[in-house]
Amino acid sequence: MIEAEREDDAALDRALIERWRAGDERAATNIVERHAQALARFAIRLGMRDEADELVQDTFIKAFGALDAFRSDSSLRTWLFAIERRLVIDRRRAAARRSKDVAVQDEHAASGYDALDGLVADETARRMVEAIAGLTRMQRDVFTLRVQEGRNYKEIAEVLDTSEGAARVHYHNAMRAVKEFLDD
Amino acid sequence: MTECGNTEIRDLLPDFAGETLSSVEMSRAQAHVDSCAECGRELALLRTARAVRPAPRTIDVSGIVAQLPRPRPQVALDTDSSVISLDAHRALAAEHHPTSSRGSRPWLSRSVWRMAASIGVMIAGGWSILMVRSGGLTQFASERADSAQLASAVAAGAVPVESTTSTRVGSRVASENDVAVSFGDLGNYTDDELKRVLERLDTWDGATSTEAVVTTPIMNAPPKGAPE
Repeated sequence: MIEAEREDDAALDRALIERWRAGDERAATNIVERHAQALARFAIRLGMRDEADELVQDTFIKAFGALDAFRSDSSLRTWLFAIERRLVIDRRRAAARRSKDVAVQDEHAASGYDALDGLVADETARRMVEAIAGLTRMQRDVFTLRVQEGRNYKEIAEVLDTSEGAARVHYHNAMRAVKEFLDD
Repeated sequence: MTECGNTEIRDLLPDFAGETLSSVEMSRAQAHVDSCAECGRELALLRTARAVRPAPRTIDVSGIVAQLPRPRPQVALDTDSSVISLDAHRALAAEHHPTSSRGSRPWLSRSVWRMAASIGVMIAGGWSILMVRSGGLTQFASERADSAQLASAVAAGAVPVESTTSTRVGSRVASENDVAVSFGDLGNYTDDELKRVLERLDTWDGATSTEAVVTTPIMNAPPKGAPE
């Protein structure tokens, strides 16, 4: 994203947060409208299609309850992504405890990604969905945040609680894996 | 599978596919892609990946907003009238005096705990003072009783006046050090006998002395010229 646009976005989010703190309900509506779709997409990519709406709502509730902890040097959307991802991890852990399933943090598990998502009209698109579904969880999260959400490596590192360098490496590994899958 | 070595341009390709580059960066990336088959292929791949992102959903924005926690009211002085707004005043009043709200009444529990702590400190302090005073009084009372007993004994002639002081001193030492001290033994000797005892003590080799004693070394010093 163009740096100036990114800065404008951040400034607008900060202004909306200040208005909401001052009691302006419409500011909260604007914030939700600006970020809800991206959060829903991210939830689906994290394999939570059926719970996407609930996750989006929970993410906003948690975020608005902790706005004092929001650092304005970070992007609000990046912060929201990080909260949503943490909620997903918590839910998976709870589900794993209930079902005594395998470990939740399986970096190499390809499960959880909705491979049949979207209207896959042609063969190329369908193959692409399959290629993304075949990535490890970390590769997939990095790849989709970079390509589909336009986040830079610094933001991806914030969301995924990793380093910028590690995010870059995961992206290049993901790209190589996708190319290999499509070449087969 | 080959990869282009121009990492700077390759890093820009996802943003190029998302059309979020500045015009300068866009033209630079475009110029490279036109001359690099690998980057052209990667750009096509990225555009496809971007196209298959999840479809938009219908979001119940008002439902989400209704569930959001309300912001804490900010207290700001009205610059014109220099008064706090009524809402903020009410919110502050509710915050500091939440008697009207049906809750756990935290202010009440705080006050109760403070009161209980104060009573505890007062009881502990009072008890300590009482103990100290009772101990002091007991000692004073026993000394007074001893004095009265001695006085009555002296008056009756049973105890010589000189020995009362030493007896009292002796009893105090005994009580402080738990060592029995007798002051009556030397009194049984006559003056001549005491002189003889003192003379024998003066001539006694085993008498203790505070003067430094010259000690002999444990090992004899080697003679001069002897090998070490």
